Amino acid sequence: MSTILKLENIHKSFPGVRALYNMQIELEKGELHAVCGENGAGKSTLMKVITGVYKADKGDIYLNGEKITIKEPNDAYGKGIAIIFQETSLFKDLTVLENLFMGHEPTRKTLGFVNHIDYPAMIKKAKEIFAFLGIDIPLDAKVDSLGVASKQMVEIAKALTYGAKILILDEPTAALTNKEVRALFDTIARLKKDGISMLYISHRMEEIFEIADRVTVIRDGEFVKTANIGDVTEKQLIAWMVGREMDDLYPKVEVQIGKPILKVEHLSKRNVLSDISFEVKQGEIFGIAGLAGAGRTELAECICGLMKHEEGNVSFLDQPFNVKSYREAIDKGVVYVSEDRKKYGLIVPMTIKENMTLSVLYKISKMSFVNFKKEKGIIGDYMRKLGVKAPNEDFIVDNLSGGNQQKVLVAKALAAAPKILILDEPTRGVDVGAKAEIHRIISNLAKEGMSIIMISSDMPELLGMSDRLMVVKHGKKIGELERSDFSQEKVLEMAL
Amino acid sequence: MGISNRNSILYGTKKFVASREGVLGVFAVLFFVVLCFTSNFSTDLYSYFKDVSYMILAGLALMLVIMTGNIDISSGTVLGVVGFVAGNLLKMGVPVPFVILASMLVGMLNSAIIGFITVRFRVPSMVVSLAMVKLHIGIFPLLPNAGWVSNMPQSVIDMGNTKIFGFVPVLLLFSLAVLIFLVWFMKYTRFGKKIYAVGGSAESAKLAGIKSDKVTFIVFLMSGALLGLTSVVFWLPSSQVQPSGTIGMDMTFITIAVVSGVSMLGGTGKPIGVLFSAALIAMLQRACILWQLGNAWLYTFYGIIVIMAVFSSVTDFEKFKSKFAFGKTTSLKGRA
Repeated sequence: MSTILKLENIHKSFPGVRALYNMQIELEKGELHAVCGENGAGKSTLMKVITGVYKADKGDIYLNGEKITIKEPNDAYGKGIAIIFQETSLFKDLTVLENLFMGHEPTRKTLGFVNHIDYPAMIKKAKEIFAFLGIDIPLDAKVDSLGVASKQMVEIAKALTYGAKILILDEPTAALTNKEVRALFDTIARLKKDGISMLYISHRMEEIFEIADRVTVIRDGEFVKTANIGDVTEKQLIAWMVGREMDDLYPKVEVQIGKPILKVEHLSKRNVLSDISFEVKQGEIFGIAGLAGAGRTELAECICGLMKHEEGNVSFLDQPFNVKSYREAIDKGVVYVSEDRKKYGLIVPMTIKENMTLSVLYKISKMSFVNFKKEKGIIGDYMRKLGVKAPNEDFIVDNLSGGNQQKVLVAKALAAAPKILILDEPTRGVDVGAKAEIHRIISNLAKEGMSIIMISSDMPELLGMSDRLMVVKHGKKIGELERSDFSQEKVLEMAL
Repeated sequence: MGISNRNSILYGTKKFVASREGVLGVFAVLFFVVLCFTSNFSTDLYSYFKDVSYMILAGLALMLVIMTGNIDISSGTVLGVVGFVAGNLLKMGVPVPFVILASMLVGMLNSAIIGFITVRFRVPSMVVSLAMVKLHIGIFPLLPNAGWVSNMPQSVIDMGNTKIFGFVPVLLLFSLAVLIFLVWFMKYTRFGKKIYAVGGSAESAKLAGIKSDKVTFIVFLMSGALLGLTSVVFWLPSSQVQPSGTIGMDMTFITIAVVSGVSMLGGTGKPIGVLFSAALIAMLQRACILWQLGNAWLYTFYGIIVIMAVFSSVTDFEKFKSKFAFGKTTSLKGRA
């Protein structure tokens, strides 16, 4: 065994966020190396540094002992490093064959000077690779017509057409059925035998223990440990992934918790949610934990009418709550604050003022004319209450910091006078100071009697703020924990 | 395709009829038959083929641009500009091959401006080319004789009207040759593949190491060259060049491209489809002339056809359902 890829001392920061700090990892020839960590631990950032999507601020990458720099994705391909994306990067309108060789088609000369794509050579090579991988996909099929598993196989085959020696598999089994997972593992075994090294990101412990040779755990962008898979237990891995002390960042205020006001019973949606039931009480902060893609966001969207569920009932204040649109949900007092604030929450080229009152324009306008006095009243209140740091309310939202944008988003939600506020990742991409402020705001809202559903991947935040929490996995409810039973290990064990 | 091992004649025929090109081909043939029976169409066959000749080239030019997710509205009026230059060169006695070259250069210059501004400054090509249209229309009256070039040498007019068998213009053969070259080009060159890639997904193209901006700019140049050729084919058989007559032709060209099966979102399109859609649109134009329906009806038909063509590209029902049905995970899209 020899080391093929080695990363040392990798640092990478984004404005306000330290994504990777002193990261290291070593990959041996022909090994399958699993990478574990919580949501947001820095796994994806690390992979993007290796494949040249991001450039590291500091640190060295060695390939076969030689120091290299990877400037862009194409560079990585050229050096034999390929990533198989969760969201496949294929061209859906083109055929499998065209996709396999896009950008590096074999060519040949006719009449000595007309250089053109050599289809027979392409087909021959593609067939060889497919035979090696043990897959059978028609080469002239349009990629659009293939299933997820086949698309993934095409991605792997595509990496091999570049002569890749290192494959990065990012949650390859996330969207596959059991049978497809077996087929994938079969292919992975063939690749290993051929001396191809793989970095394998997965949340599924049983998979890691089945196919990995070694495992590296990372946490908060930092390297924790690398171990042979035979030397560790699942419990140990989880402990390494968590391994963080709870701090006193969370100003939990004692609140009188009232009667249940929102009841969700047997909520189901094919392939997304199955049989989820829970209650939220007045003045309560109800946490929802789970991995990304476990169905947390979809659950929230089903409740507030952004998505339609197939079975189950939602009742709100003892009335059936079956809203047909999000507008109706807002009017009834259920407001959702999206995790992706730039895409779904704020209209960034508009001012703070315009954003804040967007969802309540009808309240402050008559015959479509906005009453600016009323508008100003509402805004002044929230600017003060939430402590939005901006020169004035006519400031363009795009120019605010992440934390302040989040505050504007919360203000926009509050302007609609909600009884229940659903916060999806309320502090993602926000610096520590602003985070604490947002937590203070949430606590105060609960104190005023508002019920809050908080979806978060930030474990300390979730445990620090919630009165109760529910863990979801693959769209199913795994369990509910009371505040007295909270522990990071417990939640993670349930979520994985 | 040659890629498939399922190459029985029956399978091939079925596949062809089921494809968009097939449908268009059948439609065009039916239309042709109907017209032959209902009017004195056969005597106008020559004029019809003359229309088809320039429409094929213009359709190809637009198809390429639309495939990259762009558009060129100035593709109509640029014919006027090129016509003015080419007409004067011909009158000065410059040999035809050089005039063709010059025409291509003028077309490329126009497209290069659009392409450069689009790529470099991220301005939608719709806006840039709209500005070029206004520029062209503004320039026409400022040219000597308002851009009109009359009294073209008879030898040139005769050359433009050369025919084979009494009804096939030589220009049609020229256009078909260009078409065949593009069919080959799109399938057998790396650059052809890159055009599909850039239009299909800019993100994936980047990951495949394709420089989208460069490809888009070159596509604009190609399109400009094709529009230059279009002008030559369009003006050569006529005795005079009248630039203002080209205003509005861009819509005809866009119609041809859209009907050929290129998605307005980019990424799809086959040169062979342009042959059928040019045949169809030219047929429609001829029919409206023969039946004296006038432009009002012609434009009405264009409108209906474009809507049908655009709709048929979303009639892939599964795709349609997943896009508009309730409860898709992207349900947040479009929310204020």
